[in-house]
Amino acid sequence: MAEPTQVPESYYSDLKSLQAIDFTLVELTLYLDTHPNDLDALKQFNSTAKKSAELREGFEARYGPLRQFGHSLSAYPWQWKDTPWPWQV
Amino acid sequence: MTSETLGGGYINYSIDYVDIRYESVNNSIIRSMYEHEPHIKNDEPIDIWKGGYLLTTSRKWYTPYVSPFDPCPPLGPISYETPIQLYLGFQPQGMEQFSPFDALAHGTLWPGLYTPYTNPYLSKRKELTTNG
Repeated sequence: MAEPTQVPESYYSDLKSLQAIDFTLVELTLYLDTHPNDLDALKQFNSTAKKSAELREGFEARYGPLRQFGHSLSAYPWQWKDTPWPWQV
Repeated sequence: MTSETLGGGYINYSIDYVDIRYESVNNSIIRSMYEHEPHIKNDEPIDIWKGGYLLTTSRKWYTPYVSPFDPCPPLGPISYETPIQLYLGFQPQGMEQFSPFDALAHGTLWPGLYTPYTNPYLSKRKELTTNG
């Protein structure tokens, strides 16, 4: 049987960038829960959220969908037939 | 008070540095408090530089009570960490931030909320292995 193809090195570095941005969002979310009037933090939250969406779109365009059930778009044919899936890498 | 025992129960509150001793006299409980000074020794805050950030840890030690009949006595002294947020109070606005990658690696966005962990028992283990 043919070995499944491996993802390129850049897959991991790009995914890590997305993970780091999303962790910053987690922290800012928790911070804003207790500091709702911190305008600078709110601005940072919104710009970071935009950056996260941008990174995720770029990632999905290059390597395939990350999230199921309509949160990610798919090209034709249905991209979920291709492995590895995000939780396998 | 979580468990009050009649007849001479003994509770060791290591966090408060206070021992509370109960004594039963004529079916009435007299509570006497003893402050034990050398029971606990606290390390000086250690300054650690990591990735260009100054990090401070506050590690405390206590010696557990050991019954003379304990078949498996605990090793002492035992250390515990008091993370920095315990002393911070309400988080001020505009604290210095890690970069997103550093935040991911440290588990917090703010260097001021990061408490490093180094193994407090490492030196002790070395002694143990060298002594056989």
